[in-house]
Amino acid sequence: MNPRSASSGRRHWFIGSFMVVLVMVCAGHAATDDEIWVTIVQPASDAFVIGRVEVVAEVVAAEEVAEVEFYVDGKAAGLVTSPPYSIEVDLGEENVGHRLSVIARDVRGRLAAHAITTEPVPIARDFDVELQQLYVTVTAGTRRVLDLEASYFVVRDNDELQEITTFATGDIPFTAALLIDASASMHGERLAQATAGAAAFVRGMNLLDRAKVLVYSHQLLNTTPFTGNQDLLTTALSGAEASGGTALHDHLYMALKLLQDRQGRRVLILLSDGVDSHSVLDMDQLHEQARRSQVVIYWIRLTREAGGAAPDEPGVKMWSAWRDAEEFRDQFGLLQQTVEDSGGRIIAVDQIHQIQRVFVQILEELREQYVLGYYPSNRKDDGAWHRIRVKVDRKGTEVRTHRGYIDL
Amino acid sequence: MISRVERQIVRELMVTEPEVLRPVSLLHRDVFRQHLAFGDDSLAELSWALAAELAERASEDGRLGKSPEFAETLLVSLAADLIRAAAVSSAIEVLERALAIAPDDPIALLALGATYERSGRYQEAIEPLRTLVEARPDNAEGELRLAINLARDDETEEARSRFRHLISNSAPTWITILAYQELARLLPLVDAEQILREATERYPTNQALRVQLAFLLDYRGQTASAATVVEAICQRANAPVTSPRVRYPAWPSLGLEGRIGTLEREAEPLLSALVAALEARIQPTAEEDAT
Repeated sequence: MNPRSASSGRRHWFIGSFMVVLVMVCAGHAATDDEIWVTIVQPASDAFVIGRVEVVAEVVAAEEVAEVEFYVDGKAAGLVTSPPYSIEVDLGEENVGHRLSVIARDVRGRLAAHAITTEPVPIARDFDVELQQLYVTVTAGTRRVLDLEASYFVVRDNDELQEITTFATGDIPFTAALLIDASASMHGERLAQATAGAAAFVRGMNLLDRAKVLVYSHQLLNTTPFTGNQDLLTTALSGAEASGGTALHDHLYMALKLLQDRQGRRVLILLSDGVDSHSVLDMDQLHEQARRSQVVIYWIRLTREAGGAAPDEPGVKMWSAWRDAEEFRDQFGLLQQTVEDSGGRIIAVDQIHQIQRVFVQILEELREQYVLGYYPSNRKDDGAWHRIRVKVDRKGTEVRTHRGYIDL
Repeated sequence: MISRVERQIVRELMVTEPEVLRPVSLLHRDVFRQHLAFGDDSLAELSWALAAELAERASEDGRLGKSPEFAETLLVSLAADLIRAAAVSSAIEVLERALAIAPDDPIALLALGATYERSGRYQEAIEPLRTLVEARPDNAEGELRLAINLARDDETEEARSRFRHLISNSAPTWITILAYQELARLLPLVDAEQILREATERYPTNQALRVQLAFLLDYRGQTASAATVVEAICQRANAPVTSPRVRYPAWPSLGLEGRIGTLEREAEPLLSALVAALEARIQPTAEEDAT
């Protein structure tokens, strides 16, 4: 559903925002003779916490650890004298921030401390839907650039300079659809790696993130509701068996459609070689649908080396009873364009053991985006395509965001 | 070298024992299949060429009585295997040879049309399929394939008419579902919605019909209805369903195996006789035995 399609002409929507997390980094140290280190490893430094929560500390020490004391908001919450150093605390149901801290002491009396501070999640913040939100990834070479202020960004909407009215960085909750090809060509290790990768993504999700699994061949083989329940999501992945034809376009449409009605940042992660054999829908139709949905699409593309087909390679000709060689190429090209227009990217995988790492990279990228908001100065509600350009005033940087929107 | 020797033997057989042409032809078809299975492409090519030639000679030999059906069936069977081995141009060659023997044979016509389609030569598929449907108006698969290729060739009116004919004439389910899907593509949006609603009521478990309907509703601005249809598809995930869209690109429904089986049964006694005769020829003489 287009966010502006309500009869009132204006709708409000809620966006879950993000937490700023203070982290004292001390993990990864090896203790020397006179050292002791302690780190809170759970909850994650960027997690929203409410209700009963298990707090886990990791201690690295040259000598035997005597005790680890846990504090919540400055009050003693528990003492543990042997590993595992963890306690369960009740943080209440109020949406407020908390300070969690630990102090570790070894048998020689040496101390180490670590603390994290959580902030409440500002839910129910109203945004007018005329606000255009851009999820922006900035890179310099292979490294993401994370230290930019709003003043670094220049946004143009159909070449008109726009005033940035909201700006945020950090870990914003997302809703993802994981669209996994399980057709016969994915048989064996390919599907095993694909589902393992998707499961790694699920395990890396934060408390407010939501995902839906769609495993498909010529039909939908397995799916879940949108949920944060990691067990439910991974179970749906583990039951997949490769068989049948490939109806990529049909399932891409379904995933976009299901995401379109979700609020906030929406992401579609497709694992496929990009070749469609049996869909009733064409990419020409979907290209428009994807533009309307404003879903960011990541495509983990299995190349020929990874057992996929490649109708875009010189000399490769594919055809079937449903599509001739030219159509195969065109449809493939349109899929590429759809992904690029969405602000996502195509990640080519040559070896199937890379799949898991790529899923995790996408998750990391989602955690490190900027969110820019602006009220377009040139809206006409005429259904026309508005081209968006974002630049960053820093040499050597590249910017990726969706390339535009339909003015409805 | 092997090929030359084989052909020489065949020439001799044609003169002296023409009745073995059919069983030897079937024998070479089996050898061809074995070579394919082992990936010996060049030997496979020799075998199918020899099997085809023997079948053609058998059909022409007046002493055996004219038997176009044998040759045509065997050639179509070879084409089916060639298609499975992705040797499309060889398959087309074999099918054209089958039609040279029996120009109106429905099996060869349908197979040739389907083979042209599989190789993306949609326009060329129309002629054999039209010949088939004109001769056999009740051939639903032929009419479906003809209509789909007519639509591709912008012969929209005739394509629509043929799809409607299939829908109203109790064609097999997979053919009727595809007729609905392809007809909906050719209709104005309002009519397409109506035909897809009719189709989804008639075939409620077919996923592609529902996807098509949902997309159309979306396109027409009925986004909530579209979402309901998509949610309903999710509810039915993993229900075992066959897909006509997967069925269609497969080799057409020819009843070929039945005909091949009949030929094999007829040829079996002849083949046994041939084996016995060959064994008798290569029995060592008493003199050879002694040495």
